[in-house]
Amino acid sequence: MDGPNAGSPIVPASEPAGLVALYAQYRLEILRFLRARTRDPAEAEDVIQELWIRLQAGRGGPVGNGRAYLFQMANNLVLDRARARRRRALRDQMWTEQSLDFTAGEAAAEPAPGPAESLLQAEELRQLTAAMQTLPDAARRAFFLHKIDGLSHAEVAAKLGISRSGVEKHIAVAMKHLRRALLD
Amino acid sequence: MVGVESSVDEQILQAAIRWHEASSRSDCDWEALTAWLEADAAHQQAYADVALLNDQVARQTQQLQGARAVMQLPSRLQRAWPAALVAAAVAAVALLLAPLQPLTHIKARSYQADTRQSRSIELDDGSKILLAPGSSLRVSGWHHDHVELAGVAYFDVPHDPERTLILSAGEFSIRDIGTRFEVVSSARELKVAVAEGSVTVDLPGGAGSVQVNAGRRLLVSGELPVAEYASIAAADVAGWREGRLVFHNEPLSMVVQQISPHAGVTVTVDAAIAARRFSGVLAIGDGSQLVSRLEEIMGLVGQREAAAVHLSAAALGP
Repeated sequence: MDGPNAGSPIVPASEPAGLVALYAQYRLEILRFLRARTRDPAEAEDVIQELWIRLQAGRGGPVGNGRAYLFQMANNLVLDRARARRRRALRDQMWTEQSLDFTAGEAAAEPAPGPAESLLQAEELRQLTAAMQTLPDAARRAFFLHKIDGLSHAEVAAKLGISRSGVEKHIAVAMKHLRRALLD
Repeated sequence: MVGVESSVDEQILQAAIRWHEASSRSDCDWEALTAWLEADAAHQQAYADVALLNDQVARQTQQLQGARAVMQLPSRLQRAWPAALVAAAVAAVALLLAPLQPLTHIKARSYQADTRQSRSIELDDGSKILLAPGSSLRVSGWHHDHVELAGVAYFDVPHDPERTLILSAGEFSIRDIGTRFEVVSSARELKVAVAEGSVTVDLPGGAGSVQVNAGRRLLVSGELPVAEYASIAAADVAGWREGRLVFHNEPLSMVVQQISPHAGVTVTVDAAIAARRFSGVLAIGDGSQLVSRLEEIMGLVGQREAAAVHLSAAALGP
């Protein structure tokens, strides 16, 4: 490959034309990844289209490895959509509950078609905090240190006096609980 | 319970978590990840869920840090007084909901440095922060370990592995456990120059994180953030402490931001030349010559109004 050298700590700004050329080169690989990532061929097509549009509009990116950057962009676009879907569902749900509250005369009716962004965030936080309460202690501690405090697996292991695989296991347990509480 | 139960479900999750962490690194094997996702619908579902959960946690990191005390209560207490724990959690959430401000902002302190005058701040943990003229800083968090910066500052953070200083700078987040470094922050642009130790910078939009080591400078600017590294001498980090501004290939948009508070005027730059690069050392002096020096070197003309200068490219002369 004649792409930028991977792993170099010094990353020159990539020219937009460079990323577009890389896109042409890796389009099929990225599309295959998107199909696997979404299990929805139509969504995969939408995402790769959006990727293309962004590349046309953008100036480049933090590129040491252009191919990896394109995959990451594609992956982030899938996440953006999933997040938007989830928040839409939450907003709808809150709106329904809130409307019921209003009929009870609790608060003045809101002209907006749904709860404000800040309320949505607060609700997300409430759900997450509640879900974290239900985690087994060790899992919660490991999850908190790794995800919230940003410690590496090795640092968490040292701090809790357990093995790195133990840390991984705790974090998987935490994910399992959060998944059940928040996504099912 | 944890030790015994290692279901298929959990193993898949563990793999998904590993893949998710790998996919935020530049050396990820995307072909192998594709193959893993293709192999089983449960793999794809687990990866999608892990990505979504991580995203939600990442977006709420600050607030969750604020709720640390509630989260970390030991198990004995939890069993003995579940009601008290629930009440504490509810109270924490209520606090979050009431002013719609994160819990971390309770007991927050704000600092502002006047124009042409830097201001030094010392945190409880011994961290020293020198705030450049015109910049402002907000310190919050239960352990005063969350700092929000608008402008320019130099940090001297003592090493403490028990504690991570989290610095929010525009859309960026910088994590540090003991080092000396300078940060120049505007909403979407960032400069981090490290004199000693190293810091981790989280790029916006889930673009991953990068590490900046001693003697290195990271610059992120542009529409889609472009990250660039360069070398920098320790003495040039936050050169304004010694009366000079040192620029290594920085866009004019960031140069004028750094000059303005020393010059005592608001310097703006024409969008057409905002991305043009400047390298050089400007002596600050009384600040009055800074703008004209930049004009000279870069061939710019400034339109001066009361307390503002707007720079654009000089028309090509005869």
